[in-house]
Amino acid sequence: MRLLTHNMLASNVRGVTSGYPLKLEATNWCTKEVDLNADFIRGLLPKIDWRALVAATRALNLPELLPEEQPSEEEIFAEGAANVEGSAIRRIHHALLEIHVQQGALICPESGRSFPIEKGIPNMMLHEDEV
Amino acid sequence: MAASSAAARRLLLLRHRHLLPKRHLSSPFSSTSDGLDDGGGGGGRVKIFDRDLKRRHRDRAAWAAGETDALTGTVAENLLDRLEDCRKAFPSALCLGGSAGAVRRALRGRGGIEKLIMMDMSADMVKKWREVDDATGDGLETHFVVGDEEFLPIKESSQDLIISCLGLHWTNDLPGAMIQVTFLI
Repeated sequence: MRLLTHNMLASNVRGVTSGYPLKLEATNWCTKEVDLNADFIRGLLPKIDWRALVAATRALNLPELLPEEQPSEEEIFAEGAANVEGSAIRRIHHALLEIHVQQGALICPESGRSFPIEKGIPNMMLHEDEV
Repeated sequence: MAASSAAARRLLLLRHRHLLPKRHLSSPFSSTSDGLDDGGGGGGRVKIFDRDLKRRHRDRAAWAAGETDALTGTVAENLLDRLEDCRKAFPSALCLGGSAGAVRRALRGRGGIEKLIMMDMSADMVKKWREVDDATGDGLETHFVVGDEEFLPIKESSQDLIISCLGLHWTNDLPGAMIQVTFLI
């Protein structure tokens, strides 16, 4: 499961009004390199919940990867930034698309319900008494 | 011999209908107490399909299914054909249940989809899609989630396009699922 997927998942256990963002607990994760596509990131960014993304990187013990505040668009999409090691767009690209959580859990912030992540696939199925 | 004695017993029962308690004779449709109550726990929701059983069917189907299937391939092709009529691009797409594997194969860059989430109730089905994707990946960002179409575990306003190819006809609450779908876009 990439952090981009985590950013779009929400808990919908019965009675929960805001099951977002899910708390990430990862016991095993890895990175896989993907080519950077600045236009893709540009289209994606308005839909990303920055705080949830930052919280996810912190949960993976990567406090340096992303700043608390979202960098400005000018900074992210500055000319040539994609080729600069450690630039904002590269870090965002790495956080969203290159980190794969293999094993762990997603915890609903309201009910505490734990959704398992197995072999990189989060299981969001609810039990019968939760719907 | 056994058959004729059973028939005789049935005849006896019919003759003595008037001796049976009345509620056993009334039709479930005319009764006010029988037939409508599913034994509780349903919270008033009508349960047409056994979703748990359906999930197990799909688990089994995941093992039995081949890599390609001409029938679902054709349906997916007809469905995705509509994307060619759209000028708009849909970078983030969600594919719900059914023949998502066929959709994935037939997509071939249509609709400007750059990121696809494939979701199904069956963990084995999702695992299978993932294995196929790992083996034949064409670079499309594909994400895999196990989830229920009736209770979509996706954040509001996070998708551009929702596809379902032969997937939503097993839902008990189709309007409810469609309402959730509109929230996601």
